Amino acid sequence: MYRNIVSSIVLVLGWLVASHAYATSRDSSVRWQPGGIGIQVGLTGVGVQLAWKLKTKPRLVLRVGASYVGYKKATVIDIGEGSKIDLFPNIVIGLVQSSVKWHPFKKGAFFLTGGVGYTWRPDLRLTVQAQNDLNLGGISMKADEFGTVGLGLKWSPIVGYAGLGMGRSIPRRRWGVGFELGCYYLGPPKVQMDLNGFLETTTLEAQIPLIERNMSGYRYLPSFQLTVSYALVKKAWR
Amino acid sequence: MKKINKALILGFLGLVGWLTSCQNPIEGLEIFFKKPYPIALEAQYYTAEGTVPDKIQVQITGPDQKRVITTVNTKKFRVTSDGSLFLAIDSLGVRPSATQPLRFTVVVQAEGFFPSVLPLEYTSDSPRSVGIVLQPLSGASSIKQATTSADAKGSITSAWTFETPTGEGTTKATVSAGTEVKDPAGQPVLGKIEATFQSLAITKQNASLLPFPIDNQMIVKPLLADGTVGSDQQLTQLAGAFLLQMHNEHYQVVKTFSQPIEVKMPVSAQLYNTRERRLVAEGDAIPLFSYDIATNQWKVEEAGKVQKLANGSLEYVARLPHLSVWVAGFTKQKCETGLSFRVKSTLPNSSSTYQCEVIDEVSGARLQVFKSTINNGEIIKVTGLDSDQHVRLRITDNWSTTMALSTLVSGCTADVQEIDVTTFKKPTVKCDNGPGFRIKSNFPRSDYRYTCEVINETTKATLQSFQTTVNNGDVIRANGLDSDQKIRLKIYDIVSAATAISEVVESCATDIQTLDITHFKLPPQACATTPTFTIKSNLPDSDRQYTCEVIRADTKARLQIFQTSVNNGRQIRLGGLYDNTGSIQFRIFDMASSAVVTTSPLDACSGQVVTVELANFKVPAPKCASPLGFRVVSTLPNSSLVYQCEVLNAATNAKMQSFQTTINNGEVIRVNGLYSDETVKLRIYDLSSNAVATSTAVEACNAAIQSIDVTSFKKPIVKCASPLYFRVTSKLPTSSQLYGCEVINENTKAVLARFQSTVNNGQVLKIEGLDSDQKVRLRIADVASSAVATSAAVDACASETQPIDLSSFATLPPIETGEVLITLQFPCTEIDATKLPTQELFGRFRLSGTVQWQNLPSIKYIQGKTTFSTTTTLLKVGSTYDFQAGPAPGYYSFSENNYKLESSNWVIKIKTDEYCKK
Repeated sequence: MYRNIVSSIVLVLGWLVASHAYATSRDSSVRWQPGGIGIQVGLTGVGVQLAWKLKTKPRLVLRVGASYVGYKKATVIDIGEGSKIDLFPNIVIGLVQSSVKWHPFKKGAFFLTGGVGYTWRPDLRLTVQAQNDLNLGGISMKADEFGTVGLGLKWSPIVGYAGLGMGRSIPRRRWGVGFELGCYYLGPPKVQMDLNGFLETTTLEAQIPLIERNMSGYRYLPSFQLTVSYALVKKAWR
Repeated sequence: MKKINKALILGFLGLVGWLTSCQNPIEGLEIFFKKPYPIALEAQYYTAEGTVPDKIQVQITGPDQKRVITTVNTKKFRVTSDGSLFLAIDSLGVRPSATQPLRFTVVVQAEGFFPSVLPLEYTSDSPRSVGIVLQPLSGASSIKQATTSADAKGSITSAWTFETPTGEGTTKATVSAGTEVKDPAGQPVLGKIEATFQSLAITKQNASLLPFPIDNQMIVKPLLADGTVGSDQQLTQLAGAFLLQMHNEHYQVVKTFSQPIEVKMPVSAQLYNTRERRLVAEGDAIPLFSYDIATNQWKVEEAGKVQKLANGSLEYVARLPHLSVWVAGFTKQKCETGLSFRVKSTLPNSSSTYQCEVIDEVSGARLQVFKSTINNGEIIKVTGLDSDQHVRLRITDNWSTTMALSTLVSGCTADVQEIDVTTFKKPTVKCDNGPGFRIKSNFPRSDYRYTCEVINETTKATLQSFQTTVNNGDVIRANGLDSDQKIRLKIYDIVSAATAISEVVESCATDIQTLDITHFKLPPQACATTPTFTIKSNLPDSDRQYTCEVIRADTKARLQIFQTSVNNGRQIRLGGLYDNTGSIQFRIFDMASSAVVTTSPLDACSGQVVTVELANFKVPAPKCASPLGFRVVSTLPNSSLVYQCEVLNAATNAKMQSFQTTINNGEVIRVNGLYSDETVKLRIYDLSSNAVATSTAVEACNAAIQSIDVTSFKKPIVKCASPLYFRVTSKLPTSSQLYGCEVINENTKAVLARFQSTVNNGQVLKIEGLDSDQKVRLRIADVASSAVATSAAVDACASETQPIDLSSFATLPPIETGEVLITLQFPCTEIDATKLPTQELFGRFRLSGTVQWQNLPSIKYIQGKTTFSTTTTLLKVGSTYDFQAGPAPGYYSFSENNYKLESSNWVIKIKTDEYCKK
């Protein structure tokens, strides 16, 4: 519920800013529809974005978009002597985002951009289980005694974004391509552990603050994206 | 523009690089095992088949549920794959005491099984241990469930009756309307109430929903009505037993009622009232006992009564003030003092012991059997009897069938009783000598042995039976007889049904009397003279053997067969003929033709000399003048090893000769004793590889040397002629501790032999059966440290005693008799104790193939050592165990199954060197 509200707010805010820009640029009519639409592929997955050009400040483009990437394929690791461990990753990056692009050069495609986003699953999760008895230094540990190890990293759901790139969100011709390098600010991660079995007997959970301190630098998510854009408005508006 | 772009991109990448120059997440991380909490409950859940169901859910309820934790202070309660559940009590509140008991309920649910609801009440920190057999959900189950509801005050609004089947019918429980139900803390139990009702059978404890703690029908230390602890009661006559549990949806268990509930249970008419010593009847009170699983306490309850139904059957009615396991039946207890019997005897005092038996009056069974002297005035004590037993003491005379029987007394009678043995006979003794019997016979002396028997004249019992010769004048003595009896000697004829019986004599008489056997029939006598046959032959002399036969003249049945040479003039005298043999014939078979000569019939004892002419016999082939030679063709190294050789008849493959010889290359194997008409083959067997070498067929008298190829034979593995010896050099004190020893091939590193031995200083270890042509080492592993001693590489067949130095071995801690030392040994000379995640491990074991685990004393790290160890008297050398260890009770991460405990020093080698000082 909370995530729906926040993601809606991000999208609505972006749309309001865009519509306000149009409203102020034209006295008699308001252009609600975006000037361009783009599809992006990159480290944060695949996504779609809508773009509005501000008439009063034509070098500014406002974008609203969403992207998604997920990885849940189970993996088996052989740790030797016939012992195997199952890894169940649960990695999902789902992001809605509003950003403003600034083209510092009038005729150039280079741009700087900044924005804010919301992610409804701001965490990485990994579950580890023994597939069979583990042979550890000549002593065998039964799979059920090893138990289940649940590990996770959780960041703030509100993320900041800054980046640069080449390409126009509302191409001068109908189609355009571009790329973008950026970085999300996620805030320091929180470590989550759910230990059942052998590790339950250890002081590992008490070490979570130390691990969080060590990981306090893990607050940035780099991003690289390729974008294909399509102009939705007639040439006079581009 | 391009420069700006490049600068911006590089700047951005630099920024990202700086931002993501992150620290190792586990830097400075130190993980140790938690110090476990003491065990409060150790429960084992399994099915009647000994298996553990999958996906067992655990729920803790009850007033003090918040204080229940796992032994590692978590709330992740779980039943392990082998059915174990360990619970502990936190340290946040007061410790349980009689005034402030700690109560909670363990609910375990598995699909397909009745939930196990185990209420517990602790009045101290003493741990509880229970084994619970999960009962399958089944329509045929004797476990019945019923539900009702309690109002806001915990009152059952309408009368509630439910029942469960028993062997005799159904057991019925009734809760009256308005009865308030309360939990152990006295709080009302509200909402939907579920009752679980089960008739119990003492002999089927695996079918009980809750533990049914009756071993050997014993009710242990029940609380009496006055609150004191009574003595153990053993059930002798069981009227019935049942379990009744109630709880609401939140597993708040019902313990007490505002008014008792009534239970009616059918009673067998064959139930024996041990108090009245008759079958149970209407109005009889049958003792009632309750067992509270929460407190693990038996209690003597108000006895129920037997009443008669309209149909004439009996039922037992009891009023229960609380819920428990209930048992109704008659019991007994051990007598504190034993019975005493004073012996009344007229026998002379002696140390002879007599068989004494304590006889149960009701069953006639012998309760006790023992030996005792029975001198006059002696007191015989009998202990270990039960209160409900009525017995007699019976003593049996050693020298007659007389028995002495005491009067009937109760098992707990304190007065001294008298037992009269004046009717017993004076004891008999063995005779120093025995009577002699001189044989009177007309027969010539012979070696024939006759069966003789010594017979008791009174009882006609055969006292002795033996065989001996009975020639005229022989004296047969009957020694070793008991005194005070009259006997006869009886001799059986061997060729007729005749017997000879002596006169009656005293068994201890020493005189000799005559025993006449002249009426016996004469047995067959060997012929004084036998026929002699003189061979008449025109054949040349030879050493060849002919088959000769002696047959009966009338039936032609063969009496003798033998082989002998039959050269001209040879005399053959027959032996082994008797005067009853009758007429015989002698015949000889030719070996070179089908000719046979047979003599005319003649008497076996005639002593005649008869000439036997070998008419029509053909001249046999002559013996070869020289042996047949085979030269061995071999690629094997020369050795003194002998191989099995056979000379075969080439035509029939029949074996003619068999011998063993060496088969070194070039060696000639010579075969003697062949005849010129034979064609032969030589065959040699390689038993180590099952290869066979066979020569070509050759005439027996061929003078040329033949060849036989044994190149297909494998090189023989030659064992060392003498054992290899190692002398131990050790600083350890002399002990019987066994050490693991291995003999290793120096080249292949293969273990050639593995054995256990003591390794005391100066001791010589003998290793037998090693193959030659190899270098070996002896390796011995220390049992008290990770040290391993290895000898120098030596020739396996070395004759000198080799040294092996064990001076690096550590001294073992002393192990008391009956103790077993368990050691977890790390593979290093020194441990970094700061790296150890714990200094104490918890272990348990069970006999392999069983389900019940037993805890071991904690296994502790000893400062300065490279081991964790503990000693225990629970393990027995020679048994096979499953073993588990872990950092906390219930978390047995490490396991070893089917380990046969060979010695009192059990060393488990840990392979990881993670904790070794480096």
